[in-house]
Parts: sequence; structure tokens; C-alpha cells
Amino acid sequence: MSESDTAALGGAGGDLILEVRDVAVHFGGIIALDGVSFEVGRGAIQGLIGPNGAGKTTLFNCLSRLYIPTSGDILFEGRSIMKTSAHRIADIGIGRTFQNLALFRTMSVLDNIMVGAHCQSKSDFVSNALRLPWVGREENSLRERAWDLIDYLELTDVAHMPVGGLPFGTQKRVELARALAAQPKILLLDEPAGGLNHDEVEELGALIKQIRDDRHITVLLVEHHMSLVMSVSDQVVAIDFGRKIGEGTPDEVRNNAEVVRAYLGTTN
Amino acid sequence: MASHDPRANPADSYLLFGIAMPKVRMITLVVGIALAITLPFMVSNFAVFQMTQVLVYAIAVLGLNLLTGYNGQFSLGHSAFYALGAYTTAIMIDRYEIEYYWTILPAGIVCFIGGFLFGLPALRLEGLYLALATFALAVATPQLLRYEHFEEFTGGVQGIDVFKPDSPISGLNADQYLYFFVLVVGALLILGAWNLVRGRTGRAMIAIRDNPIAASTMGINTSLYKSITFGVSGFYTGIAGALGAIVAEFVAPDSFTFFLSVWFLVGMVVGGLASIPAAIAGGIFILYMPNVSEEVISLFFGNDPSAKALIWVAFGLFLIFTVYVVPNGLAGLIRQGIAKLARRPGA
Repeated sequence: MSESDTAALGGAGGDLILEVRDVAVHFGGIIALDGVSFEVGRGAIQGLIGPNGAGKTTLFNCLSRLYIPTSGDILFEGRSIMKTSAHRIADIGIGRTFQNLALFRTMSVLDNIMVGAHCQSKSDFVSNALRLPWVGREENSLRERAWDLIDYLELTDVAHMPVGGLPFGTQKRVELARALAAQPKILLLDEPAGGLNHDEVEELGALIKQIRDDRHITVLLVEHHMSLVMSVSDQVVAIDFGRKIGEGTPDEVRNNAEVVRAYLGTTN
Repeated sequence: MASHDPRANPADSYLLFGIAMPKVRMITLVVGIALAITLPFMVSNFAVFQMTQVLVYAIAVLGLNLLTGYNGQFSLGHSAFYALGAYTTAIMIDRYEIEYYWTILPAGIVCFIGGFLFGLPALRLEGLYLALATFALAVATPQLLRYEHFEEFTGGVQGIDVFKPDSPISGLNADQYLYFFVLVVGALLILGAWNLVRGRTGRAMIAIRDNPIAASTMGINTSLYKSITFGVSGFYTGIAGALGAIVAEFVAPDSFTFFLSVWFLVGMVVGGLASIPAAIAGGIFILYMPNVSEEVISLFFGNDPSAKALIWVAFGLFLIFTVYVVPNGLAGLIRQGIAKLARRPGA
């Protein structure tokens, strides 16, 4: 996608798709996030890094409305999501994956992905129980979309198997497919490389870029795997102890003294 | 393999005794329906009455299974919905002289509303706590039905007599007619349940059971779905109660104690969680297993009256044996059996 296309897609918030403003999260006396602010440009791949316990997943949970921030504001496409309920988040265009996999274990790969498209369908209990004609049509179009993603992520051989018994790397791909099924505008990936081997990480990097380029989906990427973050990200934000400690291009962040200190510890 | 569809479920291409799995399912269904239609003409009226009762229990178990098996919410209170449905029908017939067939759907709707309203506060409760809250419902219901200020409607301790409908079809006696009436209602409910669980709503129900947080993130309104599922579960069990009242020709508070809830639970677990045909196995188990236990005891102890006390011991042992040997219920056992016996084509 060219620069001009990216700009043309910009909505109410100019070319910003996500604005995190001074977000703080306190759990009792523990401060998980201490006033973090950053922005994500539409069409970007943005990395979010930080040592364990820095507050990255907490921030993701604020974005998907699983946690309510103690203070601050989050704007998606220029509009605050602070009054949006968790189940409406997928609908407005925010999709995500989870650090430790949150799949529907007993369901097949196909069904998991079809649940991903839940927010894009609307048949209710009564019309489902009676299997009205339009329910069948909706099912067919959802199934078609799910199969496209199954082909895209090379899950064809396992499509009918329950996800619970699949290898970890495969389950990660299922989760990605499930998130894509909702046709999100921004995709939050929480440590997608966790547990993958070297080759798989390389493939993942290519896939993330491909998703952005083919599907015009903005990506916010939480990752420990530095070479992956640094190779795919346009921008990187670094946080530690709930505060932002650096931000910029991968090169700038790599050379940021505070970031280096956070990762390597202080040397006297 | 030229016509091989890469999107077909490979499990469907497996052969059971040389027959493709979809065909096996079709044959099972046809044989089942043929048995359900012909059996009542080959057995005694009492046996027909028992089969009718099996269907009634099966519908109740199906209702509980939609809630627990598919949606992961516990209930020890389904005797309350069964009672609510039974009394709705009995009161409509007894006090308002409405034809029995017009009372079934209203009984279901009353129980849907009851279930939905109970489901709302139950949203805050999980697992054991939900079990306790529903237990309270089961314990309170017979007392409410007995309560003297409601006696005008409920008949108090006496309950209400419900007269068995005559058969409008020549060639069917009253028992056979009632059996077919319940069979048709049950078949419609089974079809509805199957449609529910294989579509968008069913996927959402199962997703909530498997991982509520992920379900919510995928855009499922988990609170609404859980409440509606409670309502639908109540609808099924309420209709079972309505039919049960007509079959038993009588409703009284003592028919709807907490034990009835436990029976539904036993039927559901023995039949198999999250399976629709399992409900019928559950219904059969609930009705016949106490009798089988009695037979077993009299086989060993003859007619020794003191051995009567052992009937429930035998039942208990059998139940323990069942959950130990087939932890996934009879439905799970059949699935396992098929997995063992089915062969890949050409293998």
C-alpha cells in the first residue's frame, strides 16, 4: 500500500487509528500502568516492547475493554472507547490474539474461526432454532469466509479437528485466523512468536507484513522476540514499570539509553 | 479420489462396517424413527405410558443439557422449571378450561421468562455458587406451591387433577395417542435444539463455555447469551413439565422436589454432556434404572423384604460404575466405539 493510500484511509482522527492518552491502571496498591501515552498511525505495524511485567498485556486488556483504566482515555478512530462494552470492541474494528492462547478448545478449527466472525453476523436464537432460510445463507457466507482464512493460513488439513489437540504453533495460527475473521481495522497481537521455533518466527514476520499489506490492517505487536519486532515494525514504543521509556523507529529505540538499561539492567 | 473435496470433513469419509458415516447416521435416524413409531403398537399400555414418560424426561434432560452441556452453567434447580411448566398447564386446564394442546407453548414461554429472569442475577455466579443458587430455587418451589395464599390456583398440598385427553384418532387408544402427541412435541424440540447448536447461537454458547473472555472479545454478548440460554433451557424443561402433568394426570408439590433436579442431572451425565441424542438415553436411564436395580436385587435376594433396602445401593453402585467406565456418558461411549470400529476408506 502506498503512502497516499494510507493517508486516504484516515478517518476522523487524521491518519491516527489509535490514541492512548495518559492511561493508568491500578490494581489495589499495585500500579500496572502509570500514565502511558502513544499513538498508532493507520496502516502501520507498531511494536510494543518492554521487560516482563512492564504492563504490555495490561494495556492490551484496556484496549479490548477487559480492564477498565483507572484514568486516561483511549481513542479509536478519533472516538473514545471508554464507554464501549467489551463485546462491542470486535464490532468497531479492534481484533486481538492472546499471549497464552484463548481458543475454544473443544471446537473445531473451522468453528473457532466462524466464532471470530460472530460480530459480523446477526441471526438470533429464534431464527436459528427454526433455521429460517436467511440463517442458512448467513451460515454459508460465514463458512466461506472462514475457509478463505483457513486456506490463507494453511490450516486446511486440520480444519475439522478440535483445536485443543493441535500443536502450539498451529493453535497460534488458528487464533490469528479467528481474529482476522472479524475483519478488524487494527489487530492486537500479544506475543505471537512465543513458543515458536526460529523458522516459524521468520514465517510469522512475513505473515504479519502480508496481513498489513494484503488486508490493510494496522498491527500493534507486543513481542519479546526482539529481532522480529525490530524487523517488522515501522514504529516501536517501549514501556517499563507501567511508563513509556522510549519511542521511535526500531533503530532509535534500539539505541535509546533507557531502553537498553531496562533490558540489560544498570551497570555501575 | 478425483472427486475429493478438500473442505469435506475427513471423518465423514470413514466407513463403519463398509458403510460411509453420513449414511450410518441416516440409517440410525430412520431406524430410530421407525422404532419410535411402531413400538407403541407392540407393547402393553403400561409400557406405552412408560415410554411417554421417557420422552418427557428426555425433553427435560435436553433442556438442562443446553444449559450445562453446551453453555457450561450448572443448575440444580430444573425441578422448579419443570414444576412451573406443569402447574401452568394444570391451572390453564383446570381453572380456565383451555384445551390441553393450547397449554404447552404458554407453559414453555412462562418458563422461558422465568429462566431468563433467573439467569440475569445468576450471571454473577459461577460453578458451585450457581449450583447453590439454583439449589435454593429447587428447595423453595415446592414450598411456594404449597403456600396457602396461592391455594386458589395451585390447589395447595392437594395439587390439581389433570384429566387425560381422549384419543381423537380411531385406532389409537388414549395412551398411544398421548405417546404420539409427546413424540411430535419432542421431535420438534429436538429439531429446534439441533438447529440451535449447529448454528451461530450454538457456537456462541459453546464458546462461552470454553472460554468466556475470548468469547466476549470475539463480540459475543456473554451476559445476554447466558441469560437467553437459561431461558431456552427453562422453555424446554417447562414444556417437559407441561407434558409430564398431562401424562401423570396430576400435579402436586411433592412431585417436584429437589430430587427431581438431581434425576435430570443424573440423566444428563449418564447420557452424555453436549449431545442431543444423549437426552433420550438419559430419559431411559431415569425411568428404567430404578426398576432394573429392583430386578437385580430380587434376582440375588429373591423376595426377601429386607433386601428392598438394597435397591438404592444397587442403583448407586450402578451409577458409580457408569461414571467410572464411561466418563463421557453413553454418547461418549458410542463416539469412542465408532472411532475404534470406523475405517478409513481403502485402509
